[in-house]
Amino acid sequence: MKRNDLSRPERPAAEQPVPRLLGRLVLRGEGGPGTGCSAAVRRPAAVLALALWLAGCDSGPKPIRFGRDECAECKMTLVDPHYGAEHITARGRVYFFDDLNCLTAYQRRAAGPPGGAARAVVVDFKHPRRLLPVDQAWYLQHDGLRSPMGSGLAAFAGEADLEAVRRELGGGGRVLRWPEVRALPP
Amino acid sequence: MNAPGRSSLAVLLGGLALPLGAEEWHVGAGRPFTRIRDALAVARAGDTVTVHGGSYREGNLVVDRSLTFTGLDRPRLDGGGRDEVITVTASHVTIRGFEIVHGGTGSLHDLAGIKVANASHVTLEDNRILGCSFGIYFSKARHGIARRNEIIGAPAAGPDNGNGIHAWSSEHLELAGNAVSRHRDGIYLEFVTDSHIARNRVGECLRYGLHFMSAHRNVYQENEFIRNGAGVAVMYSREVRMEANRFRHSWGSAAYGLLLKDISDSRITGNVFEHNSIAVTIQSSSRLLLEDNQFQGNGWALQVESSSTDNVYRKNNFVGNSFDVTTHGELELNRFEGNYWDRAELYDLDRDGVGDVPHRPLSLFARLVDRVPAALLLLRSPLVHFLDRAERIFPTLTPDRLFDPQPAMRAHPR
Repeated sequence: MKRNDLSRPERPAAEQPVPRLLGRLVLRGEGGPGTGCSAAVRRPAAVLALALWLAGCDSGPKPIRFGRDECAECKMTLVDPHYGAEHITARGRVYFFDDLNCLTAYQRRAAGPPGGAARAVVVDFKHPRRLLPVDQAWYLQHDGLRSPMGSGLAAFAGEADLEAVRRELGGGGRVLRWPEVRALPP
Repeated sequence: MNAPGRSSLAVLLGGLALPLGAEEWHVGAGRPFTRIRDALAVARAGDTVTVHGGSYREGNLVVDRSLTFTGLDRPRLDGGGRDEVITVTASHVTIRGFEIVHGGTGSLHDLAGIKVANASHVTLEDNRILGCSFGIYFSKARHGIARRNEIIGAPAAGPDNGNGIHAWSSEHLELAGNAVSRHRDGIYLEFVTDSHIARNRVGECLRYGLHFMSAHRNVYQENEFIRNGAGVAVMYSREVRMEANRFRHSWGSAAYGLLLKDISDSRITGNVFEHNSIAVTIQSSSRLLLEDNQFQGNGWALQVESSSTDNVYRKNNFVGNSFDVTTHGELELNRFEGNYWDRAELYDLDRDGVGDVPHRPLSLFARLVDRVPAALLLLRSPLVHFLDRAERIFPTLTPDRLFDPQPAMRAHPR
């Protein structure tokens, strides 16, 4: 896990709010805005280091790199872009999961983390690049859904998407919301 | 074609695919049939359908009778990118000699080059399956055989790229001598028992060369796994035998030769682990025997999680690894016996081939790197070397019961 994190490149700088941060830095410079600006110019290395450090503090969900990221629970590499979830700690550390039962197993064990409230997001089955907050998604549990760890759970942004897939699977299965998913037996 | 006599014979023979009295139907340009579909429709149990060289694009072909379905001069069956190419729903079927290409993909349904569903004694041999989502797929199959098939997936690792050989809820399978590459997992087994997986060559798969989950009492022999994304994963299974396999070149931050997770009562013997980031990682596994294995040139040879108990590591060779053993915990109840450790500093005054002093394979530095990965930068530092030696003499931070009491003076012959 840890080793993996070290080798993981940070998000591209373009995604970071760097200009705004630079602006703030300038305002706080010694002796007022004007001198602060020149201070920033004089010490580009320091500014760059600070920007990189702040880039590392990003606390949002990260795009899952299928074929590379590893499930924090079962250790499998994530490969099926229809399934996946993330647990984001209050400190901004992101853990990846290949299946919802891995996420809930992890959260059960790590109940009440010292880092405070955590967030979790789940892959939208219909739009695999989209991540949904777990408590807003609709879940279909169906034997025909071949999720990586056999939970048979897929997440959807709305009921319409869910019903479309359910029809394709020939009906059946059951619809769940997050409290029920979380309470499923391991 | 003498139908009445023939059908009574068919009744006599039941479902057995005996050649006696069986018909052979020919498909090809200038043959009685030009479409495979038509020949399959008239053939009866026990018959042979022989397809001559050429390209056939007929959508999904269903074999629902006990037939021998043979390709001569490697005819090509094209799924048109839409359909499963061959679906076998009958028992006692043999399919050989085809080139199967361009199978369909589905996000909800697994489509394969050849799928065997709810059938027993189906043999798939000497086929080439190219660019299909799943190559060969056994679903609720018994006594199935896949041998000498060549299975190559899509060049780009897309979401539709399934497993080379996929078996689910099946038993008594024989998967032998296949060559699988460029799929998600090379060979994937889930709820598969009493099966024999031998002499397969699996390479360049996106995730695992071999992956099995909840698959008990299976034997894996003489397979070669090379350059797969994360190596080989054996999970949630018991009574597994892995013998004389080769695990090579799994490089990457989360890559290993072999991942054992929740495995029990299993034997890993006579295997070669060569040039992997982590040769074997063992998590929550117990009652394993690792014997006569060769660990050569790996980053870490053995990474054992403390939740693993009652494991025995005997007569293995550890040669040229950056780290031989690493663990977070104490590794109580794990026994090391008579291994050869190339970095052990031993003497043998009674010349019995066994070191007179124990060897402690877990170095202080390995422990440190485990907690602070960035410390790896200091791998070749003289200070680290000094600390390691001091720790070996007076263990303080490494578990004092983790040692090999009888280290071998020379490598065990392989």
